[in-house]
Parts: sequence; structure tokens; C-alpha cells
Amino acid sequence: MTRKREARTLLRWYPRTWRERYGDEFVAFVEDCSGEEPIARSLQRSIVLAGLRERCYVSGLIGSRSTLETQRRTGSLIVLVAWAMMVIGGASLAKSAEHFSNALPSVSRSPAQSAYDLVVVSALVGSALVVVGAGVAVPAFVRLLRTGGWTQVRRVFFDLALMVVLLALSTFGLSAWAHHLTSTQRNGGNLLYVVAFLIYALVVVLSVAAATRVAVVVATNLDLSTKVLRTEGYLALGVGSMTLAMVASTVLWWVQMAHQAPWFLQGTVVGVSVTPWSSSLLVTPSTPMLITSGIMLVATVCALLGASRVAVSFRRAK
Amino acid sequence: MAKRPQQSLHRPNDPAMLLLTSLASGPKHGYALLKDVEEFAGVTLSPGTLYGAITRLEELGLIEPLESVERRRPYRITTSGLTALREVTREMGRLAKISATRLRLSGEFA
Repeated sequence: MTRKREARTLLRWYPRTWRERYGDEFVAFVEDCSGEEPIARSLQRSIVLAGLRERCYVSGLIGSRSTLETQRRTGSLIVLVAWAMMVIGGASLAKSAEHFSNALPSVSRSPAQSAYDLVVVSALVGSALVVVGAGVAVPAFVRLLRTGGWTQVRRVFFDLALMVVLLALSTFGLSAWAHHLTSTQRNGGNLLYVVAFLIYALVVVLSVAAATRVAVVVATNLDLSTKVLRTEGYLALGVGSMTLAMVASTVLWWVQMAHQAPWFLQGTVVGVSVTPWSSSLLVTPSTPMLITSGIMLVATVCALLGASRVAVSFRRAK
Repeated sequence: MAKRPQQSLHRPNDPAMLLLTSLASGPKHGYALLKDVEEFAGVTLSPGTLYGAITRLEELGLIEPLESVERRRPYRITTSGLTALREVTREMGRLAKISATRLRLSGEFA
């Protein structure tokens, strides 16, 4: 690969607008810096990092170079992505926590049940806010379609349609199969079913990701008024709060389960477990519980990042 | 609220400050800027840092591009850039004087 082509390839790390403005001179500059030698690794690393940083600046993810509207839109979309992750984490929790109340003594079910109910309520409120957010953007979406914007978003819609068909088929197939299996076979007794379920879980994750991608691509192309963006910003803060509420109530539920039925979290035989409040509960939960916690943790970090970006944009506007 | 350009040039080794100082002696393109900064400040700016600073300064209206010569585009400092550089240099001079007095180096910074 020639130095010029190599420099052009590295340039792709920068956003399109930046490439259009500085691309040619930047390539010439990198050629000057390298002399007759191939582009050094350290130089390549520096360009990649600078390109990513520039993307973050332009998208409004960091710094104050972009407009407040861009910062608010980006913050809101990060919260949306966090919520999509939370939906996956929540679904994983619902599956892992199936029949959890049966593992508890009947006299002490109430606190854990209340915490779990709080998870469900937070999830419902958060989802409702996301739906309202989508509804608020509908007029702008119609305007986008009327002005020939379909070509900009067509591809992601086709990808989503493909995933929805795949999801519908796999849901139907798995349900039909599950009806012919016993409870023991469905819960780990049949290895083939376990594999099929894992693939199904992957299809669900990819479908949620495809739907989120549609929302992000469409929202990026929409011409939203200041008023609509302000509303979306407030809704994003609400969704961010619901994410935190979900995590807080999950922790409460976890603590209750750890106290009353630690074997449930560890996925071991009923009644066989470490002492309640043992530190090993924190480090040796079952794999599904570990995955659930991981997804929820990442979602929370993203939600906090997005919500803080939105909040900062409101503060700077004052 | 928009930041004043001077607020972006708060450190003497800030890449933007180094570029303004370099451009104060005349227009230069990217590679010439890199070499000049290396010479007077002993700092080697990476391409990402250099062009990050150029982007920032151009957005702030402190420098402006000239016509490209063989794909190499020179930049020159604007009137606002000169004003900002003067103001920051004065502020740095004032701080340097205070430091020199307190360190009893008054002879060197008189």
C-alpha cells in the first residue's frame, strides 16, 4: 500500500465533514511527516485516536464545540441505546428470576416481590417514555419522508424487517418445540433445546439492536425543532431515571434473595448454599445472573453518560 | 454561553497557543507549523493534535486558511487571533513576573 493510500485509509477514522474540509491537506501533511518511510505505528495510532476524538466532538458526545441542540440530541440517543440494553438486561433478569418467589419462605416473600415489582414498574414507565419520545418525533419523520429522506433510512428499515421476520419464525418454532418437552427438558435437560434457546436469545438481542439502530439513524436525520428537542431531552432524563430505578430495585431484589435464598442466585440445589450475606455471593453468581448484571451495569453507565450530556445542554442553555 | 477565545488558550504549552505563536511570524502550512513549534518550543505535536488545534482555532476564527499550494494549505493568524494572543501573552507575562518576584528571580524577568 502506498503512503498516500495508507494515509487516505487512516483518514476514514475522521468524520465525513472533517474529511471534506481537511482531507487533502492532512494526507499531504502525513506524507511530509513520514518522508520516504511507511507511516509509523505511533503515527497511525495518533491519527486513529484523533479521528475518534473528532467524531466525539462533532457528534456532541464530548466538549462544547457542537451546538447545544446536537449535544442534547446525542445525549438523548445515548440514553435510548442504554434503554435498549436495559430491555435486554431486564429480559435476561426476568428469565433468570423465573419462579423466584417459590424459592422464598412464604412469610418473607414480600420485600423481594416488592423490589421485583418495582423493576417491572420502572421498565414499563421507561418504555412508555420511549414510546412518547418516538411519538413526538413522528411529524418530523413524516416531513423527512415527504422530502425524499427515505433513501437515507431505507437500508436500516430493511435490516429491521429481516430481523423481525427471523424473530417471528424462531419464536414460533421454539414455542412449538417447547410444547413437546417436559419442564426438566426445557430447563437444561435437553442440550439441543438449550442451544436453540441461546440462538433464539441472540436473535432477540440482534432484533433489539436493529430496532435501536433504526431509531438512531432516523433521529440523526430528522430536522427537529428546538421545542421538540427540549421535550426529547426531558423524556431522555426520565428514561435515564427509570434506568437507575431499575438498577436500584434489582439490587434490592438481589439483596433480598441473597439473604433469603442465596442458592437461587448461585443456581445450586435448593437449600445448599453459602451462609447468607457471604461475600462469595458477590463473586460466584450463576452465569445468567452474571450476564444480566453485566448488561445492566453497562446500560447504567451509558444512561448516566447520556443523561448528563442532556442535563449539561440544559444548564448551558440558561 | 460561548467561551471567549482566550479561555481556550490557558496554558503556554497548549497546542493552540503554540500554533498562534508560530503563525504570529507569518503564514505556514501544517508541516511547517510542526517544524517551527518543534524548533521554538521543543514540542513535537502529533498529526492528530496539530490538526485538532487547527480545527479548533479555525472554528474560533483565530486563524484562516489561504489558497492551497500543491495540496498543502497555509494558515494565517486573524486580527482576532492576534488580539487573543496578545492578551494571553500579557497575562502569562504578568504571572511570570509574579512567580519571578516570589522566587527572587527579578533580574531575569525584569
